[in-house]
Amino acid sequence: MEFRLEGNHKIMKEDTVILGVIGSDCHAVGNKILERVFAEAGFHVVNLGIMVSQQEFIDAAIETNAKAILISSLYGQGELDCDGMRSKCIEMGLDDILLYVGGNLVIGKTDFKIVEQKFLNMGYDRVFKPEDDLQQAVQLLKKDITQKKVNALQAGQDERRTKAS
Amino acid sequence: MNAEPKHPEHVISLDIGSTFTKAALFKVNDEQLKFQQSARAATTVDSLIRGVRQVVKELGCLDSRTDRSAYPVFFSSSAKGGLHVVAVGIVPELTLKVARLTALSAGARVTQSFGYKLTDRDIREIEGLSPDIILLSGGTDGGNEVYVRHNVKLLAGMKSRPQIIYAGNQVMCDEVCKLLSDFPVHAVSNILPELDRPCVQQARDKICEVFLETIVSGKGLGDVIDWLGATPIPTPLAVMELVEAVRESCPQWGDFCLLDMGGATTDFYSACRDDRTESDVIYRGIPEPAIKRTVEGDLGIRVNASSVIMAGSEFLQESKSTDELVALMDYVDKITQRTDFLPQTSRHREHDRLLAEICMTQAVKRHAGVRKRVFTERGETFIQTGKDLRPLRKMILTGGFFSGLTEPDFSGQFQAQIKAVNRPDSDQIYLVPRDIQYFQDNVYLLPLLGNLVRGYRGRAAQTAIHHLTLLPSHCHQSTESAC
Ligand code: B12
Repeated sequence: MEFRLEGNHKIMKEDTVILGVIGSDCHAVGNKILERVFAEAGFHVVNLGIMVSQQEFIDAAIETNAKAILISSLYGQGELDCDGMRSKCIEMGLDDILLYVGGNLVIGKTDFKIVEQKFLNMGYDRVFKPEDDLQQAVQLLKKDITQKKVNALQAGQDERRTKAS
Repeated sequence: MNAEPKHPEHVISLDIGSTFTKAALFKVNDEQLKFQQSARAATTVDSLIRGVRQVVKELGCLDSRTDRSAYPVFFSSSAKGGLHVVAVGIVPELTLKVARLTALSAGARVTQSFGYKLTDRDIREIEGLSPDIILLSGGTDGGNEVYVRHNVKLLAGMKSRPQIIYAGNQVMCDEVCKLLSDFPVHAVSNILPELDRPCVQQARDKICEVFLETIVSGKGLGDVIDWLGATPIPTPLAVMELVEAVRESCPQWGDFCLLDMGGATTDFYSACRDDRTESDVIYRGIPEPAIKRTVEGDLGIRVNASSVIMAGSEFLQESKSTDELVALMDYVDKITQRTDFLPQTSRHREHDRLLAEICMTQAVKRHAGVRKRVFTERGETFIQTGKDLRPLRKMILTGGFFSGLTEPDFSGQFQAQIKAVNRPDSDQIYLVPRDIQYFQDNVYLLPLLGNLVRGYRGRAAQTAIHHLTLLPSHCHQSTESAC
């Protein structure tokens, strides 16, 4: 299924996703695995590596027209590092970007439902724990991106209809 | 002896600057270009050819039969402001930064740069600046389209018709050219096709080409080109090309940097790779070019002397008494009103030296990369952006001030100032050169040699190095630092 939002693309590239480990977190192993999994699933992955700031994620997403930002946080400070990301995205004109986050998001053992809700409230679209199946994450991402494209098409149609009437 | 020499025996290099037209005559032999003599005349702004003809005549090279130069001439020009570029990109640290570096590497002056979405006010500002070229970038290939489209639509509504070079997202190429069909527009490959891979050569070449083909005529250079039978390059490009030639033709000289300080601006060039190889350092931002030029438009020891004081205020307040500061400010008032002022007393020279040191220190500091110290469980780690200049061992100093320099301890004082850039209590480290030898261009020959790179690449580079004078270093005098 492919939705062309704009005409005559010379290069019809795969969808771009930005990947990285946020804050001062230097856990590098999971990041490499995620890069491979998402690239093999057909995404164009821009991997910013470890210790990435919110601003760097956003800058990269703007220039590359990324459909999603995939953030990891392993060292327990995820709540602090990830807060405010959604509003910064809106501020910088990334109104429509998908935000995914995963890893050991809080220190110690907290019920995942509570953690998940916390991050959903911060504006993340999906939240993952370390044990979650990555293939399932890939499928969810594909589904979410498609949905965004459908929404954009519909918005375009609505606009044309209002203009016509 | 051959009946016909392989190359002409002599060659002239000439530069049309904003105030002076300068030229030098060189004898060409197999290894070197031997400097014979130089000449200088005021630049005749209303008709550049007069000043040009005069310096050629003064060199004794005017062929009376043809009334032309007897020898081939290579020339550069910064008349009427040189090559004036406005850079447009999206993210200041990404495409906009690469766009600026690209324009600078082509010898341009970047008068303004605009990130993200242009506004109507920006468009009016661009119209007011009336640049020769707008370098338009934005988006990786297959990347951002929204900002690019927005910016192009606004540019299309401009009243003036500057040359536009599009070097952004290639997906947008046709659309951009169509929207800008009323403009002289040139499309080249993307300066940032992938986030970690700047690729500036095509855009740089195009800037030079557009300068030659369309801009020079508007700068009153048409009859100079006819008379000399040669085409010009922008003056800073001559220096850039010399730096490239030295790096390539004189590998034994190693990595180096060059500082070109004038009355209004200070240019800094580094010739060393942006090595990203240390394992305990995390590198950030786009990789920088091996030969990088930055221009500090607020740092110059005449026209911009007062902004030099601003830039160095912290250093001055810490190291100078109130009386000294008052005297310095008086001097600055005097020289900004009379920008051709030459120091007359030792006091004047002292002030000039201080201003020069601040220009140099600030220019190096702004050019250099930065490391921030972070503590992780692996211990101390650094996040680095920009180029590490610390391994550099040589700095070439050129520009009017250095050609007259007789100060014996100049390099020692400057070295101390540059060390002071990094404060011991700071978490941020400027990657400025540490132990460095200074080489002085004492007759201000380098820009002229730069012109000759296009004809005599290796020889121009060799000559440049031979002609430099090593300044004595006085490291032992700065007590706080072990060299
Ligand atoms: C190896 C390791 C280190 C190494 C890292 C080496 C390196 N360069 O990578 C070192 C020794 C440096 C280290 C340091 C620290 N560590 Co450590 N470390 C580990 C350890 C043992 C393994 C991590 C690993 O590589 N896992 C394997 C990879 C494949 O799994 P992963 O990282 O979880 O990533 C996967 C998933 O989480 C998921 N995922 C992650 N992000 C996302 C995002 C999305 C969108 C999706 C869909 C999925 C997803 O997919 C990934 C791939 O499968 C873990 C314990 C553990 N067993 O996990 C602790 C652990 C992560 N570390 C921990 C801590 C506390 C630290 C330190 C703070 C210790 C300290 N006191 O100094 C420092 C932090 C340093 C810093 N600034 O980051 C804690 C974190 C506690 C918490 N969050 O509640 C852990 C959990 C250990 C523990 N049980 O206490 N650590």
